[in-house]
Amino acid sequence: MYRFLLVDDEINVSKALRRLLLNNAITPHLPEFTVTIHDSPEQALCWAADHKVDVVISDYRMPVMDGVTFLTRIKEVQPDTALLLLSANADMEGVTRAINEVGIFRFLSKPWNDSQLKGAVADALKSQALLLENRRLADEVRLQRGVITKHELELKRLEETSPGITRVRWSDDGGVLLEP
Amino acid sequence: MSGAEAAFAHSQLGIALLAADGRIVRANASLTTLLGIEIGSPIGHEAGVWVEDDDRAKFEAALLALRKGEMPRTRLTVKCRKADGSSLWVAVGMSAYDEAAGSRGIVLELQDVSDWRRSEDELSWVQTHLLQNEKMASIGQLAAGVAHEINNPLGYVYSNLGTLKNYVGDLLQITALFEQAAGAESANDALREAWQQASEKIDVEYLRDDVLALVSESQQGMQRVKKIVQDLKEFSHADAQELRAQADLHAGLDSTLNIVQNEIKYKARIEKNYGKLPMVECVLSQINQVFMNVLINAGQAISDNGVIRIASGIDGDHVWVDISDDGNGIEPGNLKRIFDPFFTTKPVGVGTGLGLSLSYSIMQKHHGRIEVESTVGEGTRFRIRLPIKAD
Repeated sequence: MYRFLLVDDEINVSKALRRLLLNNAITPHLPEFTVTIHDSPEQALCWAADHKVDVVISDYRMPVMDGVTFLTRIKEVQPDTALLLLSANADMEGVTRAINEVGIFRFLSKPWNDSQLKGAVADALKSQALLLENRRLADEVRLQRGVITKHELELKRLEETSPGITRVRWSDDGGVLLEP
Repeated sequence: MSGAEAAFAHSQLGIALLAADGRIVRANASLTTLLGIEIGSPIGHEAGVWVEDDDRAKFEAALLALRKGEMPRTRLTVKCRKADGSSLWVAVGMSAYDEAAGSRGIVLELQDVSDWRRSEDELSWVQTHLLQNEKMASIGQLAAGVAHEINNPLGYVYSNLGTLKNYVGDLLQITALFEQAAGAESANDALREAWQQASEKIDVEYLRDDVLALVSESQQGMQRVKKIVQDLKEFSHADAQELRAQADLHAGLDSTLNIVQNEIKYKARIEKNYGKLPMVECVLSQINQVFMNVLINAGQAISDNGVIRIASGIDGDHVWVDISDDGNGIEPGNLKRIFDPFFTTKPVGVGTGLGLSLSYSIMQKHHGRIEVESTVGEGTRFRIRLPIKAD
């Protein structure tokens, strides 16, 4: 089951996107997924710290944190997530930053075209699947050649399903921190 | 030579004395120089013969008023024709005097004011265009800010309407099934009753017909808002983001004609009279947009059986393209406003009122010009001028 994260300070945008993604009358069809919506990028980051996300669609202009900054930080915790930026004003600076600094998968503009948007998500999933398959095969080869151990491979798998689980954060007094 | 005679002979003003019958009895040397005619030749002629046709009525009317004694003197500016066919602007002072009892002569003093007139024209051109440029700049700023605010709600309302249409379709299928079930022989009485009551209260037939139409109409409305916002955004985008390249304007015109042909072909035929044009440095997609806006307007100005003429040529370091129609023409009062954003004389929904102002803004960014001449009932001519080399 895939998980999509939608972030826009105007919650109605995310709600409309969710309807669109779930609407089977609009092609292409997507594999099974759940949708999580956040209207604040900070809350979305907290949530993403311990939930694996496959696709993020973020607004560009948001108070406190803009879309490019938000996606950059998502990428730090979940490097394999496909990132899409949805913006109402395509200013060159924003687009350039999004592509050069974050390496987003698609830049989409508001108002969007329904099937184009859905198509972009489908494409993102496909290219992501290809990437992960490649990596899995490469790891298998490394394992066979003894470059990495079974233990390391398992840690990697765990980290992929639950981001952050392999890194324990210590507080100053020696306690284990659970919140990011 | 008396002082008065000397003043008459050596004045820089062209002076003529008119007898009571309106014929010239005396004229000084400055007058003949001014009009480029031979000394002595004006004698015996009416002064009006040197005035251009457009201004002659005005000129004669003033003379008549003076002769009748309605006023002692007046002053007006008219266009005169010189002997060599060229024309010049002349300020004319007219003063009446009593020649003899009951007979009034008139003194005319003529001064060449062509240079003033030219700079005045230039000044007013600069002035209106400065004003227009300012308008464009502010609409661009406004557009950039407003587009973001509108595109957000526009985005989800537009998308939701699409989803709503699907939902409604599904619900209609379900009600149809329910109706079928309630109407079946095997249906129980409670179900049948419930359906009957509900369909009496709500006009189901009407609702079923109307609900999809309602959604479609709303979608059309949003489509229009989308188009307006898009056009508005073009203002802020018309800057130099796109690269200029050497372009063939005739190819641009032809491809634009292909696009707009459907709107034009039943009403007007196109007459092309292309000159020889060099490659022009410009953003062709934007220039095509200008062609398109002007051509669509030309088509809309024609009721039927019209002609749209397209001509082109070189003028120094500029090229020009003329697009003229023999349609309705533009009211003089509207002519000043056609480049204003949101100004339109078209019915609701046909134009956004942004086509020509966007064209204006595109030409301005290309350091070119778009000019218009129009006569009601005769037609309109747009002239598009572009520098061959961008700076």
